[in-house]
Amino acid sequence: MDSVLRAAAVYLILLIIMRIAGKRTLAQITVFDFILLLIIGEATQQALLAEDFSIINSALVIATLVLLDIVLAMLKQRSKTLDRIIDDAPVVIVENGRLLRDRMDRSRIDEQDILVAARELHGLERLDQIKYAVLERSGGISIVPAGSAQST
Amino acid sequence: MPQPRSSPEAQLGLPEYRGHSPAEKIAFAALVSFIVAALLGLFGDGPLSDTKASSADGRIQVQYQRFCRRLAPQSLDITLATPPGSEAIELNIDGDYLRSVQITEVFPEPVTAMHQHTGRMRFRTDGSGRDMIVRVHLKPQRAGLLAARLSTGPPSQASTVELKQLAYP
Repeated sequence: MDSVLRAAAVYLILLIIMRIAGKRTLAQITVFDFILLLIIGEATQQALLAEDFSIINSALVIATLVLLDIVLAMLKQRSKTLDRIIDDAPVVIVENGRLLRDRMDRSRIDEQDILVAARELHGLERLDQIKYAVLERSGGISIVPAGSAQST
Repeated sequence: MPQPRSSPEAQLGLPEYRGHSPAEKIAFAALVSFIVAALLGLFGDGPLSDTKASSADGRIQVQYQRFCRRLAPQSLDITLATPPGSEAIELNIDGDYLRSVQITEVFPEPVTAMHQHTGRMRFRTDGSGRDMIVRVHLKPQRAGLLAARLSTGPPSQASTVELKQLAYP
Protein backbone atom coordinates (compact mmCIF):
# COMPACT_ATOMS: atom_id res chain seq x y z
CA MET A 1 0.00 0.00 0.00
CA ASP A 2 2.81 2.36 0.96
CA SER A 3 4.55 1.98 -2.42
CA VAL A 4 1.39 2.80 -4.39
CA LEU A 5 0.59 5.86 -2.29
CA ARG A 6 4.19 7.06 -2.46
CA ALA A 7 4.29 6.69 -6.25
CA ALA A 8 0.95 8.50 -6.59
CA ALA A 9 2.17 11.35 -4.37
CA VAL A 10 5.42 11.71 -6.33
CA TYR A 11 3.51 11.66 -9.62
CA LEU A 12 1.22 14.44 -8.42
CA ILE A 13 4.08 16.52 -7.02
CA LEU A 14 6.08 16.19 -10.26
CA LEU A 15 3.03 17.09 -12.30
CA ILE A 16 2.51 20.27 -10.30
CA ILE A 17 6.20 21.24 -10.24
CA MET A 18 6.67 20.68 -13.96
CA ARG A 19 3.54 22.65 -14.71
CA ILE A 20 4.81 25.54 -12.60
CA ALA A 21 8.28 25.29 -14.14
CA GLY A 22 6.85 25.72 -17.62
CA LYS A 23 7.27 23.87 -20.87
CA ARG A 24 10.83 24.88 -21.54
CA THR A 25 12.22 23.16 -18.45
CA LEU A 26 11.49 19.76 -19.97
CA ALA A 27 12.80 20.70 -23.39
CA GLN A 28 16.46 20.11 -22.40
CA ILE A 29 17.55 23.32 -24.09
CA THR A 30 20.93 23.62 -22.43
CA VAL A 31 23.41 21.29 -20.81
CA PHE A 32 22.46 22.69 -17.42
CA ASP A 33 18.76 22.01 -18.03
CA PHE A 34 19.66 18.44 -18.88
CA ILE A 35 21.71 18.08 -15.71
CA LEU A 36 18.84 19.59 -13.73
CA LEU A 37 16.52 16.94 -15.14
CA LEU A 38 18.98 14.21 -14.13
CA ILE A 39 19.12 15.59 -10.59
CA ILE A 40 15.32 15.72 -10.43
CA GLY A 41 15.25 12.11 -11.61
CA GLU A 42 17.72 11.07 -8.93
CA ALA A 43 15.80 12.84 -6.17
CA THR A 44 12.57 11.30 -7.41
CA GLN A 45 14.08 7.83 -7.36
CA GLN A 46 14.98 8.24 -3.69
CA ALA A 47 11.46 9.33 -2.84
CA LEU A 48 9.88 6.53 -4.85
CA LEU A 49 11.88 3.59 -3.58
CA ALA A 50 13.01 4.78 -0.13
CA GLU A 51 14.95 1.83 1.35
CA ASP A 52 12.93 -0.83 -0.40
CA PHE A 53 14.93 -2.30 -3.27
CA SER A 54 12.79 -5.38 -3.82
CA ILE A 55 11.62 -6.34 -7.29
CA ILE A 56 7.97 -6.26 -6.24
CA ASN A 57 8.35 -2.69 -5.02
CA SER A 58 9.84 -1.59 -8.35
CA ALA A 59 7.02 -3.36 -10.18
CA LEU A 60 4.44 -1.64 -7.98
CA VAL A 61 5.96 1.80 -8.46
CA ILE A 62 6.19 1.36 -12.24
CA ALA A 63 2.65 -0.05 -12.46
CA THR A 64 1.25 2.82 -10.39
CA LEU A 65 2.98 5.49 -12.48
CA VAL A 66 1.87 3.88 -15.75
CA LEU A 67 -1.70 3.44 -14.53
CA LEU A 68 -1.90 7.05 -13.34
CA ASP A 69 -0.57 8.21 -16.69
CA ILE A 70 -3.18 6.16 -18.57
CA VAL A 71 -5.99 7.39 -16.33
CA LEU A 72 -4.85 10.99 -16.68
CA ALA A 73 -4.65 10.63 -20.49
CA MET A 74 -8.20 9.26 -20.51
CA LEU A 75 -9.43 12.13 -18.34
CA LYS A 76 -7.67 14.66 -20.56
CA GLN A 77 -9.39 13.16 -23.61
CA ARG A 78 -12.75 13.71 -21.96
CA SER A 79 -12.12 17.13 -20.46
CA LYS A 80 -10.62 19.89 -22.56
CA THR A 81 -10.28 22.06 -19.45
CA LEU A 82 -8.17 19.43 -17.68
CA ASP A 83 -6.16 18.94 -20.85
CA ARG A 84 -5.45 22.67 -20.97
CA ILE A 85 -4.57 22.81 -17.26
CA ILE A 86 -2.13 19.92 -17.43
CA ASP A 87 -0.56 20.22 -20.86
CA ASP A 88 -1.25 23.86 -21.71
CA ALA A 89 -1.72 24.73 -25.39
CA PRO A 90 0.63 25.42 -28.32
CA VAL A 91 1.32 29.12 -28.74
CA VAL A 92 2.54 31.04 -31.78
CA ILE A 93 5.59 33.12 -30.89
CA VAL A 94 6.65 34.35 -34.34
CA GLU A 95 4.26 35.47 -37.03
CA ASN A 96 5.62 36.32 -40.49
CA GLY A 97 9.07 37.09 -39.09
CA ARG A 98 7.68 39.30 -36.30
CA LEU A 99 8.45 38.31 -32.71
CA LEU A 100 5.43 38.20 -30.42
CA ARG A 101 7.26 39.51 -27.38
CA ASP A 102 4.52 39.26 -24.76
CA ARG A 103 4.02 35.55 -25.49
CA MET A 104 7.76 34.94 -25.58
CA ASP A 105 8.23 36.67 -22.23
CA ARG A 106 5.45 34.62 -20.68
CA SER A 107 7.12 31.42 -21.87
CA ARG A 108 10.63 32.66 -21.00
CA ILE A 109 11.88 32.34 -24.58
CA ASP A 110 14.28 34.68 -26.31
CA GLU A 111 15.11 35.30 -29.92
CA GLN A 112 18.13 33.01 -29.82
CA ASP A 113 15.98 30.02 -28.85
CA ILE A 114 13.85 30.57 -31.94
CA LEU A 115 16.83 31.03 -34.23
CA VAL A 116 18.44 27.85 -32.88
CA ALA A 117 15.27 25.91 -33.69
CA ALA A 118 15.09 27.53 -37.13
CA ARG A 119 18.70 26.62 -37.93
CA GLU A 120 18.44 23.07 -36.60
CA LEU A 121 15.12 22.22 -38.21
CA HIS A 122 15.26 24.06 -41.54
CA GLY A 123 18.70 25.65 -41.90
CA LEU A 124 17.13 29.11 -41.75
CA GLU A 125 19.32 32.06 -40.85
CA ARG A 126 17.01 35.01 -40.23
CA LEU A 127 13.69 35.73 -38.62
CA ASP A 128 12.16 37.01 -41.85
CA GLN A 129 12.56 33.48 -43.27
CA ILE A 130 10.13 32.23 -40.63
CA LYS A 131 6.42 32.27 -41.28
CA TYR A 132 5.41 30.84 -37.91
CA ALA A 133 7.31 29.64 -34.88
CA VAL A 134 5.19 27.69 -32.42
CA LEU A 135 6.02 26.76 -28.85
CA GLU A 136 4.58 23.26 -28.69
CA ARG A 137 3.08 21.52 -25.66
CA SER A 138 6.21 19.40 -25.43
CA GLY A 139 8.30 22.53 -24.86
CA GLY A 140 9.97 22.31 -28.28
CA ILE A 141 9.77 25.05 -30.91
CA SER A 142 8.47 24.09 -34.34
CA ILE A 143 9.14 26.29 -37.32
CA VAL A 144 7.05 26.89 -40.44
CA PRO A 145 9.39 28.50 -43.02
CA ALA A 146 8.19 31.46 -45.05
CA GLY A 147 6.99 30.46 -48.49
CA SER A 148 5.60 27.12 -47.34
CA ALA A 149 2.11 26.16 -48.56
CA GLN A 150 -0.81 27.79 -46.71
CA SER A 151 -2.97 25.16 -45.10
CA THR A 152 -6.73 25.44 -45.62
CA MET B 1 -23.07 10.35 -39.90
CA PRO B 2 -20.62 8.19 -41.89
CA GLN B 3 -17.10 9.54 -42.05
CA PRO B 4 -15.52 10.21 -45.48
CA ARG B 5 -13.19 7.50 -46.66
CA SER B 6 -9.58 8.25 -45.82
CA SER B 7 -6.77 8.28 -48.36
CA PRO B 8 -4.81 5.09 -49.13
CA GLU B 9 -1.83 6.57 -47.25
CA ALA B 10 -3.94 6.95 -44.12
CA GLN B 11 -4.77 3.25 -44.23
CA LEU B 12 -1.19 2.42 -43.22
CA GLY B 13 -1.21 -0.23 -40.53
CA LEU B 14 -5.00 -0.30 -40.34
CA PRO B 15 -5.47 -3.93 -41.40
CA GLU B 16 -3.56 -4.96 -38.29
CA TYR B 17 -4.85 -2.22 -35.98
CA ARG B 18 -8.18 -2.89 -34.35
CA GLY B 19 -8.12 -0.55 -31.37
CA HIS B 20 -7.85 -2.13 -27.96
CA SER B 21 -7.48 -5.86 -28.44
CA PRO B 22 -8.83 -8.33 -25.85
CA ALA B 23 -5.23 -8.97 -24.79
CA GLU B 24 -4.74 -5.25 -24.06
CA LYS B 25 -7.96 -5.13 -22.06
CA ILE B 26 -6.90 -8.15 -20.04
CA ALA B 27 -3.47 -6.60 -19.43
CA PHE B 28 -5.10 -3.35 -18.28
CA ALA B 29 -7.41 -5.25 -15.93
CA ALA B 30 -4.39 -7.13 -14.58
CA LEU B 31 -2.57 -3.83 -14.00
CA VAL B 32 -5.53 -2.39 -12.09
CA SER B 33 -5.92 -5.62 -10.08
CA PHE B 34 -2.21 -5.54 -9.21
CA ILE B 35 -2.52 -2.01 -7.83
CA VAL B 36 -5.73 -2.77 -5.94
CA ALA B 37 -4.14 -5.89 -4.44
CA ALA B 38 -1.17 -3.78 -3.35
CA LEU B 39 -3.47 -1.19 -1.77
CA LEU B 40 -5.21 -3.96 0.15
CA GLY B 41 -1.86 -5.19 1.41
CA LEU B 42 -1.25 -8.33 -0.62
CA PHE B 43 2.35 -7.27 -1.31
CA GLY B 44 3.25 -5.59 1.96
CA ASP B 45 1.62 -3.29 4.45
CA GLY B 46 -2.15 -2.97 4.29
CA PRO B 47 -5.31 -4.37 5.84
CA LEU B 48 -4.85 -7.86 4.37
CA SER B 49 -1.28 -8.04 5.62
CA ASP B 50 -1.44 -6.56 9.11
CA THR B 51 -2.17 -9.25 11.63
CA LYS B 52 -1.63 -10.27 15.22
CA ALA B 53 -0.64 -13.55 16.85
CA SER B 54 -0.77 -14.44 20.50
CA SER B 55 0.37 -17.28 22.73
CA ALA B 56 -2.28 -19.50 24.31
CA ASP B 57 -1.93 -17.76 27.68
CA GLY B 58 -1.67 -14.29 26.12
CA ARG B 59 1.71 -13.51 27.71
CA ILE B 60 3.29 -12.76 24.37
CA GLN B 61 1.60 -11.07 21.43
CA VAL B 62 3.10 -10.10 18.09
CA GLN B 63 1.84 -7.63 15.54
CA TYR B 64 3.39 -8.32 12.15
CA GLN B 65 2.84 -8.34 8.43
CA ARG B 66 1.81 -11.56 6.70
CA PHE B 67 3.27 -10.30 3.44
CA CYS B 68 6.60 -8.58 3.27
CA ARG B 69 9.35 -7.96 0.75
CA ARG B 70 12.93 -9.10 0.63
CA LEU B 71 15.36 -6.39 1.82
CA ALA B 72 12.49 -4.05 2.68
CA PRO B 73 12.28 -2.67 6.23
CA GLN B 74 9.49 -4.00 8.43
CA SER B 75 8.91 -4.45 12.13
CA LEU B 76 7.56 -6.85 14.71
CA ASP B 77 5.71 -5.24 17.62
CA ILE B 78 6.01 -7.69 20.48
CA THR B 79 3.97 -7.21 23.64
CA LEU B 80 5.31 -9.09 26.66
CA ALA B 81 3.45 -9.53 29.93
CA THR B 82 5.91 -8.86 32.73
CA PRO B 83 5.40 -10.40 36.18
CA PRO B 84 5.08 -7.76 38.94
CA GLY B 85 8.32 -7.28 40.83
CA SER B 86 10.52 -8.84 38.14
CA GLU B 87 13.56 -6.86 37.06
CA ALA B 88 14.06 -8.39 33.64
CA ILE B 89 12.28 -10.36 30.96
CA GLU B 90 13.59 -12.53 28.17
CA LEU B 91 12.51 -12.74 24.58
CA ASN B 92 13.59 -15.72 22.49
CA ILE B 93 13.49 -15.82 18.72
CA ASP B 94 14.25 -19.09 16.93
CA GLY B 95 17.51 -19.33 15.02
CA ASP B 96 16.02 -20.32 11.65
CA TYR B 97 14.08 -17.08 11.52
CA LEU B 98 17.10 -15.06 12.59
CA ARG B 99 19.10 -16.59 9.74
CA SER B 100 16.43 -15.40 7.28
CA VAL B 101 16.29 -11.81 8.45
CA GLN B 102 18.64 -9.02 9.39
CA ILE B 103 17.68 -7.23 12.58
CA THR B 104 18.47 -3.56 12.12
CA GLU B 105 17.23 -2.20 15.45
CA VAL B 106 15.59 -3.33 18.65
CA PHE B 107 13.77 -0.87 20.88
CA PRO B 108 14.17 -0.75 23.82
CA GLU B 109 17.75 -1.89 23.60
CA PRO B 110 18.25 -5.27 25.29
CA VAL B 111 20.55 -5.49 28.28
CA THR B 112 22.07 -8.65 26.85
CA ALA B 113 21.67 -10.41 23.53
CA MET B 114 23.07 -13.75 22.45
CA HIS B 115 22.53 -16.23 19.65
CA GLN B 116 23.04 -19.92 20.28
CA HIS B 117 20.58 -21.84 18.10
CA THR B 118 18.04 -19.40 19.52
CA GLY B 119 18.35 -15.66 19.74
CA ARG B 120 17.90 -14.56 23.32
CA MET B 121 17.40 -10.96 24.37
CA ARG B 122 17.04 -9.80 27.93
CA PHE B 123 15.25 -6.53 28.71
CA ARG B 124 15.18 -4.58 31.93
CA THR B 125 11.67 -3.94 33.31
CA ASP B 126 10.42 -1.46 35.90
CA GLY B 127 8.79 -4.18 38.02
CA SER B 128 5.34 -2.60 37.80
CA GLY B 129 3.86 -5.65 36.07
CA ARG B 130 2.67 -3.64 33.10
CA ASP B 131 3.04 -5.02 29.59
CA MET B 132 6.26 -4.25 27.81
CA ILE B 133 6.35 -3.49 24.10
CA VAL B 134 9.44 -4.40 22.14
CA ARG B 135 9.78 -3.24 18.56
CA VAL B 136 12.13 -5.24 16.35
CA HIS B 137 13.04 -3.59 13.05
CA LEU B 138 14.27 -6.07 10.47
CA LYS B 139 14.79 -6.79 6.80
CA PRO B 140 14.08 -10.23 5.33
CA GLN B 141 17.20 -11.52 3.61
CA ARG B 142 15.51 -14.08 1.40
CA ALA B 143 12.26 -14.47 -0.47
CA GLY B 144 9.81 -17.22 0.38
CA LEU B 145 8.00 -18.46 3.43
CA LEU B 146 9.50 -17.33 6.73
CA ALA B 147 8.41 -19.03 9.92
CA ALA B 148 9.22 -17.65 13.34
CA ARG B 149 8.77 -18.88 16.87
CA LEU B 150 8.96 -16.33 19.65
CA SER B 151 8.81 -17.18 23.30
CA THR B 152 9.18 -15.66 26.70
CA GLY B 153 9.58 -17.05 30.20
CA PRO B 154 11.64 -19.96 31.56
CA PRO B 155 11.94 -23.01 29.24
CA SER B 156 9.65 -25.17 31.42
CA GLN B 157 6.82 -22.60 31.37
CA ALA B 158 7.61 -20.75 28.17
CA SER B 159 4.80 -18.93 26.38
CA THR B 160 5.27 -19.40 22.67
CA VAL B 161 3.80 -17.73 19.62
CA GLU B 162 4.37 -18.82 16.04
CA LEU B 163 4.02 -16.73 12.94
CA LYS B 164 4.48 -17.17 9.21
CA GLN B 165 5.36 -14.51 6.68
CA LEU B 166 5.60 -14.57 2.91
CA ALA B 167 8.53 -12.52 1.66
CA TYR B 168 8.27 -11.45 -1.98
CA PRO B 169 11.46 -11.08 -4.02
